[in-house]
Amino acid sequence: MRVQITEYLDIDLDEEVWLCNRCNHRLGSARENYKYGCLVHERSPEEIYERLANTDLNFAPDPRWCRLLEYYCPSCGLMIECEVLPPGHPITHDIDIDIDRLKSKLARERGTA
Amino acid sequence: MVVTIDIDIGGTFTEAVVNRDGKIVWGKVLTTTHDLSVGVIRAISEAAKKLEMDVVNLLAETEIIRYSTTLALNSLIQRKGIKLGMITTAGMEDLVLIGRSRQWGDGLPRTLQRKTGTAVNPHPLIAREMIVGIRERVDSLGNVVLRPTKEEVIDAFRYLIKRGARGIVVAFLWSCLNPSNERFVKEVIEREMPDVYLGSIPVTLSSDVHPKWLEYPRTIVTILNAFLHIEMRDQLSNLADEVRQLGYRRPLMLVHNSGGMAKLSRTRVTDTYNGGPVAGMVGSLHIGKLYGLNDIITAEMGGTTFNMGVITDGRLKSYEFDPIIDRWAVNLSIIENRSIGAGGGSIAWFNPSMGNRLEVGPRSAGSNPGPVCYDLGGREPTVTDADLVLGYLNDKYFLGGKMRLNKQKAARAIKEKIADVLGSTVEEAAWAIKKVIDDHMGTEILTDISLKGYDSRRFVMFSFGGAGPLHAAGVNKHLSVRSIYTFPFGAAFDALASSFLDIKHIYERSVGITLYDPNRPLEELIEGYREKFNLAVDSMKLTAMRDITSEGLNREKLIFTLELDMRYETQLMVATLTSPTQSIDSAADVQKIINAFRSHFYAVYGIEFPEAVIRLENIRLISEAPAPLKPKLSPRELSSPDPSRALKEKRPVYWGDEGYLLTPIYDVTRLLPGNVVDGPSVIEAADTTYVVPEGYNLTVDRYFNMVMEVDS
Amino acid sequence: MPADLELVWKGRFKPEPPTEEEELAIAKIDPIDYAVYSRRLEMACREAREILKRLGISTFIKAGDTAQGYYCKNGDMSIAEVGTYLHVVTGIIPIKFVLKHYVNEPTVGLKDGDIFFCNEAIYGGIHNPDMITFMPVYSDGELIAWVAAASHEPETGATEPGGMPNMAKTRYDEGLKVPPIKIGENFKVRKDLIELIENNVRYPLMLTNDQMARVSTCLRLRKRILEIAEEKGNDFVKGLLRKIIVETGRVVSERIKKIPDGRYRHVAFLDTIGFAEGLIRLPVELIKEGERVVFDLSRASPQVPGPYNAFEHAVEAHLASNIFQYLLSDLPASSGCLLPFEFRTTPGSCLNPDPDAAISNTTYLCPVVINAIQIVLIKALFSNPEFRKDESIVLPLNGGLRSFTISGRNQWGRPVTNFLVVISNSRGGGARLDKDGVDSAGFWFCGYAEAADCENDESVLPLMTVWRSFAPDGGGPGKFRGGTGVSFGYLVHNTNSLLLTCIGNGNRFPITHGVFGGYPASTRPVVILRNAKEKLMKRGVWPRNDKELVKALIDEVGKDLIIVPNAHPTITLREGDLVAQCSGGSGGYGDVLERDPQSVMADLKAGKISHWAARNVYRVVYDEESLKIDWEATEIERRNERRRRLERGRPFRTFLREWEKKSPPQSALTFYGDWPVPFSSNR
Repeated sequence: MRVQITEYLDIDLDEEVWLCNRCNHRLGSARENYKYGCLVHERSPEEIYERLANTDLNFAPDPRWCRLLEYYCPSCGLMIECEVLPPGHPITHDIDIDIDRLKSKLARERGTA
Repeated sequence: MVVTIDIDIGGTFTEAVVNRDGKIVWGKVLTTTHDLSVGVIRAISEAAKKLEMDVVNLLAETEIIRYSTTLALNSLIQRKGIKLGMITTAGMEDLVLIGRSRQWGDGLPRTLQRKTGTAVNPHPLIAREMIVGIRERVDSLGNVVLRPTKEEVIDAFRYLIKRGARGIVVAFLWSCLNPSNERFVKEVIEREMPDVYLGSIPVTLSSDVHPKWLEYPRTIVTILNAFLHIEMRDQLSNLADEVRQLGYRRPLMLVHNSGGMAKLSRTRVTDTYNGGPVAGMVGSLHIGKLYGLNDIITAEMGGTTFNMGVITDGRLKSYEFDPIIDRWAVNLSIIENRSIGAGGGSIAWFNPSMGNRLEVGPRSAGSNPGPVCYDLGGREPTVTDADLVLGYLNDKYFLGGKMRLNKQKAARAIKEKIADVLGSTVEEAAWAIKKVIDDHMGTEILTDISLKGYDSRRFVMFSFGGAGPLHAAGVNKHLSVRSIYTFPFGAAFDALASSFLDIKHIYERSVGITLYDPNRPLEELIEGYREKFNLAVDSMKLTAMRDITSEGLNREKLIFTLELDMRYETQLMVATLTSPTQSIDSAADVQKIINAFRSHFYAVYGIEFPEAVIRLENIRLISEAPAPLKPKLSPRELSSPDPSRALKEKRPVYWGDEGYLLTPIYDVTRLLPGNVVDGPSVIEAADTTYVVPEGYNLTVDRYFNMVMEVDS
Repeated sequence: MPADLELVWKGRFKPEPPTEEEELAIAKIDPIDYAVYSRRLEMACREAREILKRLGISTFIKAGDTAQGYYCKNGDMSIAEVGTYLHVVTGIIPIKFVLKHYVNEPTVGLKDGDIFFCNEAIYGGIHNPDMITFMPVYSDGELIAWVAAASHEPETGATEPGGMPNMAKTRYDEGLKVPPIKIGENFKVRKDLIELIENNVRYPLMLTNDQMARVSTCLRLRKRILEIAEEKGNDFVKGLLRKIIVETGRVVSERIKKIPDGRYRHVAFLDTIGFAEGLIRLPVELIKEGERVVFDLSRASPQVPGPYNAFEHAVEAHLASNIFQYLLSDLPASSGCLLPFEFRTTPGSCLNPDPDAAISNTTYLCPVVINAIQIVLIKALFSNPEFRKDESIVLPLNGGLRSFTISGRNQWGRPVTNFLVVISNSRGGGARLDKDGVDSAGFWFCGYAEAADCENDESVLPLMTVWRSFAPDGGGPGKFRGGTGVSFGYLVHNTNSLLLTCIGNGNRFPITHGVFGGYPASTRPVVILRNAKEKLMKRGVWPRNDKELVKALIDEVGKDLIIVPNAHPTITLREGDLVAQCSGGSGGYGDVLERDPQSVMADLKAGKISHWAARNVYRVVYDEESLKIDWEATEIERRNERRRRLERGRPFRTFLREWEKKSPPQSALTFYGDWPVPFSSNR
């Protein structure tokens, strides 16, 4: 049984895997961080926000203080998630669903349906 | 013979009320939006027939025709106006799109204003690409900081015309204090582009339409007027032509939300918004004067909405606090008449977010499918269904017998949807529905009155609308007003009420004057603004006199009232007061104004600032000329109090704690002035039902109006 | 007495269970009476709000920053109307303080007609500009309820005017802090206590006037509930107030249960502590199990030596402010709604500081935390289709950026101090799952708020607005764009000089993030142009936003065009100088490459994004003059960009190895705590 978890991620509960829901690529175990299965690119915020002036403080976030991390589906190149962190900060394991409880909840619902 | 005709053109129905020397008849037909004149003439004809006359003969005797219309609002909602372009101060092009950051919630019910996630801005009246900024500036002191150049004006105008503008709005910052830059734009356009201009591309200046402080609402008012003016003018002048062809040669008068009326050519589109209910209040005001009543709550309960207004000290004093037309905030002086979703068609339901609390409305079944008992497919129980099940409505006599009501269906809907959930009987559930809606309306009135600083017990209530007199006593439960007046024409009161309207115009403009400064001698300060003030008042008076003359009336009959919007300089709270003087000739005059302001501010806000600077922001001239014709209400002879000749039948009616009582039902057409009906009773009319509970009595007075009072 | 933290720490916002007396009373309330009288209480709260709005002077009252409502006799909040949901919750603790400490204290006591006041943030309010006035309600000699009214007053007698001193280091820089005291008896406020407050602040008139306004508001609330008590009896009232809490609690618990169990995480960062810059870590973990939701904020940075700290209950109150606008926007504001939520913070962190900490800028710290909570909520809610609508899957308004306080002499030569509320009230709204965010949507603390006209501000201050327009590129890019804020350009006009104080965050590190691939909203600096009048006239330039200004005068950067550093002390502006700043935009939703190119062109046309962004971020190919899209070329470009992503993206483990070696500059970590996770040795 397949469940949509985010705009771009599904979980196949039977196989317990994360899926990119645009191309169905399997990203890895649903019990782990989906980011493990993504390609990751770290970029300077100045690539997304135009800097304008050559001063210390300007119109883009400071690339020494902040980096954009982009998580791509390795198959279709969809940007599944984007995170902004200081360089070197631990990567956030943002979605950690209790798979067992989800399974039993859905089974209960199907049972009563 | 003197005839006056009052027309109310609504979205669904057009009504005509004809008063021929005191005899009142009316006609009601479906509105013909493709050509309004068709419906209007049909309505007049229907009324004429009741007088055994034809339209032409009737119009030959007609002195005045007054119209109130919701057309402008409907056209606005449907966005049926002309394509506009706007020329504004450079840097302010996004003004009407930013919308004070609250545009997404303006005009929406409070429940939606809370849901920030669902916010969506309304579709703009002017697209961004049709807005051009030019370099000009006036500052807060009214000084021109930068004049526009001829070249920029022409470029802007050409740019907008090229993109299909059929009308141009010019709105600059602070033009309310100094219109010269706006006027310059118009002059340039007229002079340099005469062909295009004369090919009727109207150029509308905000300083002409609404020279009032605060640029967002001022610009919105200008846009609304420019957007719809042509549409409204075309529709109504066509109507004028048709009626003229049938023999009526006098001007068309339109009902204004200022509580007055004026010719079509002297009417801004925004003046007509909510004109009908406001006219109703004017009617109430005059009827009140007949009885010496100065404090009146007007309460109109129709199919979908409940409209309420407040008259105090014999005047319409309250302007709407934060007026919004459709989704657009305007700073117009509109007589306040509030509307909530409560009517005969309001649907009863259980609200899960409030622990399954029983609620009634604001959703309405409307007229289609309507209440369950209409048998048109409605499935959800409404107030009308409850009123029917309780026995107040007569299933065989609704609308004078024109329509039969299905009581069984209503009862079943109430049982399944409400009673079963509550675990009660059908009657108890119907009673609960009535109780909830009555309390809702009553609490709204009470809150409004007390926010104005009054005690509800000093008021009387005028009750109108198809459902008004049925619910009036219930609504009164917490208001405890002295008496409740109901009227034989209650259901068409708005159309009748406009027959009381005087010619009334409101002219307002911002002046931005520092009236008082503790650090400067008053005589010195006055020299700086005396001329400005007097000039502003005089020029508004001249305009008023010109308007009155063109309306065919005598300027000597004009009565002027001057209102001032003033504040203490460091505060934003504005207090509106009637000026004790209409000109400033000496320090004494100013001192009078200062004293009046101080005590009024204290009365409203409860504080004073004896050392603070005082500012005069806006002045407002109200010019009124009594209309030559007022409807006559001829008093009748009083008969005995015994109403029994009007008794129709007795039927079981449910009265809450007392349960079912065999209740006398009277026919209003057989009641006579002087009759007194004791509660519990029900009086049936073709257009409404009067419910007199235990503890009340209803007297038919010499004008055939009916007054309910608590038994002493 | 030392600060009573027990009162604060024990989750006192959560309603206590109904007493036996209350249970009995509830059982006797029939559904019709509940329908009628709960409605009455709602209307009474609305009436109270109108009164406070009309009587109050503070510009914040005008802007809607108030709360007024009813509390059970034990202090639990039953129902309120807002304004700002913050204040509703924070009325609870001062009432409970009085009940705990003063009812039986012979020198204070409690009786009918008593009037209380509090602005000490430990016990109520978020920071000391938030002032609460409250009264007990007695009927026939019995205490049956409390009423309270709260408002934000921008003046506290702190080291800087405005009530939120940027340079504050401890509570002793922040001005007047009054724990709950009785300021009146027999329905009359005591003159000597009013004098005490007036003596300590720069704008005594405003504080006293608004105190009286709040008292009037309380009196009206009291009147309405006594009317009900007279009709239906004391027990009815006590039961009704409790029933509202119980019913809303029930609805919320049911709703919370539907969130899939698991853990959801996000980390946000602040980049200032007031008088200095530095990164502050603000992590959120939502732990959902059954009926309970725990927000674990325990690895936040330590308490900072500036005003960017928040007491834990202030964080909770901010959650209320957010949640009543989104997830629970159909429910009445009642403390029943807070039942399922728990917070965990580390004592000594900036989210659970010492009572001596400076906290006046809490309102620039907490929204950043709550915005992170909103993101985890989106991630937690999305997988349940019932929640997948714009009410809940929506990003929050921007959590800060900046505001100004201006002081000096106005165009009439009179001294003024003014907090430009309009800037805070025009922030961009967040993108949602099916549409863009609203540009210039409102105020973070209560969405539907008003950003006053230019002619308003220009009537009081010696400023001339050169522009007020949508800030280009202010909203986070995404499939659905975050709403952008408004760019303001003010010329100093008709005065010699003005003092400008900037408060705010989000200069170096974005404070409002996107979700599901959407980018954060941009940072944005304050820009000053000296001698602007002269310079702009000479070049014939009339910028329509801050970016146009900088682009047109790029050669002046570092000379007369100053990009104002963060954490800057007060600046003196002269006649003819210009100051430009933007209200913050909000985060984007979804992958930018999925954004409809027509929407991109519409944004360009409306000046909401730049050509730079259209080309480089959204990857649309079009003609810059006509804005005509080259569909084929756009398709190819976007396909290429996806290919480039696959080329430049690295497998996670490879990436991580390099990433872990990095760190921000030392100067950024002065106040951070242990890098990378503060308090990591705990537990």
